[in-house]
Amino acid sequence: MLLPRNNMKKEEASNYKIGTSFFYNHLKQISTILFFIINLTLTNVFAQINLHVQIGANSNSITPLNNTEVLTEASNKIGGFLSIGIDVPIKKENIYLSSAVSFIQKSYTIKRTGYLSGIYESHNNNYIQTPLLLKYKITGIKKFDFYLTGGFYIAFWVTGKEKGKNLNVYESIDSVNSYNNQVTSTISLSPYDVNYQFNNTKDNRIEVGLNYGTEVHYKFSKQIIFECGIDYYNSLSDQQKKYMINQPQKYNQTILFSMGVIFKTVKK
Amino acid sequence: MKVIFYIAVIILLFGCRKNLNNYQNTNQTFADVFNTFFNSMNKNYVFWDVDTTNWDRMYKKYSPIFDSLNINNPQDVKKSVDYFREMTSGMVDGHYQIRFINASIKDSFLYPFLDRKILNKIHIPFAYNLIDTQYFDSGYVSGNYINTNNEVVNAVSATIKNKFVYFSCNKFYLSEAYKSTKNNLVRVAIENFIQKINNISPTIKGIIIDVRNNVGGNIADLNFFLGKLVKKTTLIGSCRTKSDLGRLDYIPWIDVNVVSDNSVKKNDLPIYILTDAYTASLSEIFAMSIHALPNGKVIGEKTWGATGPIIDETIFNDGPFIIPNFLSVYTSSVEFKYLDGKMYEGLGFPPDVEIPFNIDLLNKKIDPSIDYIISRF
Repeated sequence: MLLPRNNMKKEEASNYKIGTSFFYNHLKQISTILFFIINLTLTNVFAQINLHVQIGANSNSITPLNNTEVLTEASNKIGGFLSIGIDVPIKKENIYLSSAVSFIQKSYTIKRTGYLSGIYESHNNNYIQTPLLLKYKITGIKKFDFYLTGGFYIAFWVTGKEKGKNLNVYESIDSVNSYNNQVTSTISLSPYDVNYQFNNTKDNRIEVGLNYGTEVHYKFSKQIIFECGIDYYNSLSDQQKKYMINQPQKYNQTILFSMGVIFKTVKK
Repeated sequence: MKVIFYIAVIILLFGCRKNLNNYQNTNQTFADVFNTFFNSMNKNYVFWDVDTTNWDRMYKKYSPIFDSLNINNPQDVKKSVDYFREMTSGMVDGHYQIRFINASIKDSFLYPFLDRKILNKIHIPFAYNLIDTQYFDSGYVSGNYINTNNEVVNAVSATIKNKFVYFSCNKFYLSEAYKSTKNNLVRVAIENFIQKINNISPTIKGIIIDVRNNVGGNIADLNFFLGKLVKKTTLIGSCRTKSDLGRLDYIPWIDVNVVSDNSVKKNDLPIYILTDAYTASLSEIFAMSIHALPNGKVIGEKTWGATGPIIDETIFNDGPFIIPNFLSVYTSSVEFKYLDGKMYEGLGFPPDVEIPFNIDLLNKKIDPSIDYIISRF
């Protein structure tokens, strides 16, 4: 399902659609898949449903990396994660359909390097995210069960913060070298820490992507399972709407480490 | 409390051609030149949020045209100048200029904003310094300094009718002149002005700063000179630069203050700043700063409309850029927004009291702006 994602060259933006456009273009197929999943789920609606609560931390980056700017590098940033969801068994306890409502921070930092070290900009973005996953049990050893997970997610970019430091050229002071009369300007850094102001032309607040991972479950008791897992969220939608030709792309790529508790409800 | 981190850089402002970084592009064909130009403008031009030029439409129209040109054909190279002129004719940046490096067109030069000013019949510049000396009391100081760009900087410190302390300069390199190891009369003029401010005579009714015909200069002069006049650190607006490759990728707005210099005595005298249609760049920031003061007034004409400073491309990854062997673009690196929330780029800052340019009076050696101020006292 991954579509090629090369850096934009001479193609016009309107000829290359991905992400939310992918979602709309494949709405019929996605709707069909959802129909079958929901139908299958409804036949098991009175079966055992597990509730899960997870917390975690993630490392997010923006790709593709911008390698063209001088003395500049992008770096990952750690963000938080909190989720409440349900797992619905499709086939005994070997395959689950899983969904949740999650709060996830997807952040990144742009830093200047070399003699411009100290200048940076951190983007701290908060999303509400809902995955729809299949969890497949690959094996079980004693009280441990191992699962592979895969599916897709949709997220909404709720708020953001920008924090950083940049040169304030209006607050510069000149000094003159007494040997060669060369002028050197010294400029102070101004910090900022503000709420991000969304731009309707530029910002795409809906994110759609693929989600795959692995989980380890420990059966603590008949009704309580401890779990931990690693997930990879691969955004298929650009963080920006297409508003210019040769637009740079920005995709969130998130690795999540989580742990939580699963509460098994009793089958009636 | 602001965290201060000092970075020693060489900053070339308002005339920084010699430190422009080369762009990584081989530019073998006109298609290469065009695409580098288009993409560099996307990234480096800081006024996409207010400029009305439809840049994508320019791509669609001119990309096939440039594809059809042969970069080894001097006739095609000359034609390309007209295409660049058409593409950039509406740029709002009051500094925006293109200089051509290619041998076939090295005498060509584009300044879209100046072209529009001429179409709108801007008056010719006037050398006010030739007539204003008659207003000065005897003992005024006037002199020159050759700056590190080999430009002549002139400054005058005077009093008018023993009622006004007067200062003018044609460019802002006052800090450099003052701190220079070379003796120069600009430093003497500055010292004379500071001495007058520190020892205000009871007959003095006001201070006049004359920035008519002043094209700007080193931004360090804002705090160096104006800091000596403001009683306390004063917010005058905000600024921002680009943050990434996209047209609308900006960092947040950062406050811009004029920092008070406490080594100079302050007073509540009215400060008048004289402006004309050629008051440009840092001079316009001076006008806006004085307008922000409770005792400040702008007298004269609306200014030029070039409020964004120009810094080497390396510093902010925006602003001026070069396409090797073909052209260099001179454009602002920072967007400035005044205290009232408006951007005066491409518009000019309006005076508090408009004194229209009057060549007839000036030719009779009558300066209407100075006469207006004198008449109030």
